[in-house]
Amino acid sequence: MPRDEKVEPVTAPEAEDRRRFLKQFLMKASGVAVLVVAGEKVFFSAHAADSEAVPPGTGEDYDPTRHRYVYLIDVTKCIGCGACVRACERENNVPKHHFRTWIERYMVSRTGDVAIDSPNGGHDSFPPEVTGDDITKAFFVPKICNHCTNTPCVQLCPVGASFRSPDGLILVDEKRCIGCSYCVQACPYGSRFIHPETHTASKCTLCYHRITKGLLPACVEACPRAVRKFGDMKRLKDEVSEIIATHQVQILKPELYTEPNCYYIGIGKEVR
Amino acid sequence: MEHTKHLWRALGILVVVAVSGVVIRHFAIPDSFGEAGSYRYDALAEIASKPVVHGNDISCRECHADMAETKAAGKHAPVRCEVCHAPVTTHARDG
Ligand code: HEC
Ligand code: HEC
Repeated sequence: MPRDEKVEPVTAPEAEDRRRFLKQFLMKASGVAVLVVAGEKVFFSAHAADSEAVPPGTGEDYDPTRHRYVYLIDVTKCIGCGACVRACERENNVPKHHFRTWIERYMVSRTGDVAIDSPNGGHDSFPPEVTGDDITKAFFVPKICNHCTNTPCVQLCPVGASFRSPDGLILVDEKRCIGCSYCVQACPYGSRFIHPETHTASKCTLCYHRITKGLLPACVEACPRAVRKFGDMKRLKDEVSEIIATHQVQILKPELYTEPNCYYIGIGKEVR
Repeated sequence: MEHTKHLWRALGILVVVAVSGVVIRHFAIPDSFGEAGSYRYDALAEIASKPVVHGNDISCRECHADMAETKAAGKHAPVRCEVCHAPVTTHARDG
């Protein structure tokens, strides 16, 4: 308002004007808001609707909510032959010197010193041990992804590429993964690696492509000593669920509260 | 009433922001994301559709029944055929 003009008190018609303006403004704004919300509904209802009808999976009638997979490793039986590592490599096309499953050899001396080795992940079995110590016990510990219920790898994935599936597995969506490798560093069990060709995180899927068709994971199938067992908690009379329910079983790094779904029999305090 | 045009401009900007927000969201969030959690649900089917490589001893027995018998009677009975031999899907293909 120019300086020299006389400032007048707000007169009735002007107040009326403002009121009308505010009224119109609010009406139009809320109209736009309704439009936006409706547009949102139209945009997103499409795929939300068809997802309800069709369960995912193999195209056959596999329903992931009806399974809850567990894995059991009986360390006392393992002979370190490496058949599982080789089977996994072939089955999942695992690049050289990377492992979705591997075997560690623990050698404990009388003084309590522990030597651990895993030459080429146990892929070619193990050479005679070369530590100078007087070894009083030695054993093999096969390892895979523990498919933890409370896993750090899924929690910190910035793009939602690592996830926990309804059947209880930790999987990686290769199309979403940006290869930042946060999950590789976060996994306390060292179960993940960045694939040298795809540059995405890669890990054990418990052979999801096999188990959804009723086959066993390749490592379980390959094991000549029945060290590795694969089970389903939601299946009646399941051998592995039965063992877990009735026997002493252990998990790796319980102090981390990651709640692994891979159980062990016969691991000692040396095993990490 | 000349000052109301400022408000209309602000409103216009808000509308543009809201509409582009909806559009960007539509294209940035992949299909099936969030159906069972904050991940792409279709990934499950994709992972499940990877090719199977290994069979089991039953798949070899279909054609090598004699060998299966020999093995079952021998010391290597618990060792799977595919531990020593190549996986079934890479074997006896056409051509
Ligand atoms: C579809 C039937 C079929 C199945 C299933 C099959 N084989 Fe064979 N296999 C053959 C035939 C046919 C030959 C002979 C190929 C040739 O002589 O060129 C053969 C040859 C072989 C040979 C080589 C013999 C030689 O003299 O060189 C081996 C070893 C063998 N099979 C192992 C297996 C194993 C292990 C499996 C299971 C994983 C298996 N086969 C599954 C049909 C089959
Ligand atoms: C412990 C390792 C081992 C296992 C397990 C094994 N094989 Fe063999 N297989 C061999 C070897 C070694 C030979 C070669 C023997 C030879 O040339 O005399 C052979 C030879 C064969 C041949 C060729 C025989 C021929 O007449 O030339 C066939 C077919 C065969 N195996 C099938 C099987 C099938 C089927 C199974 C599972 C039921 C199986 N093998 C399990 C080691 C194995």
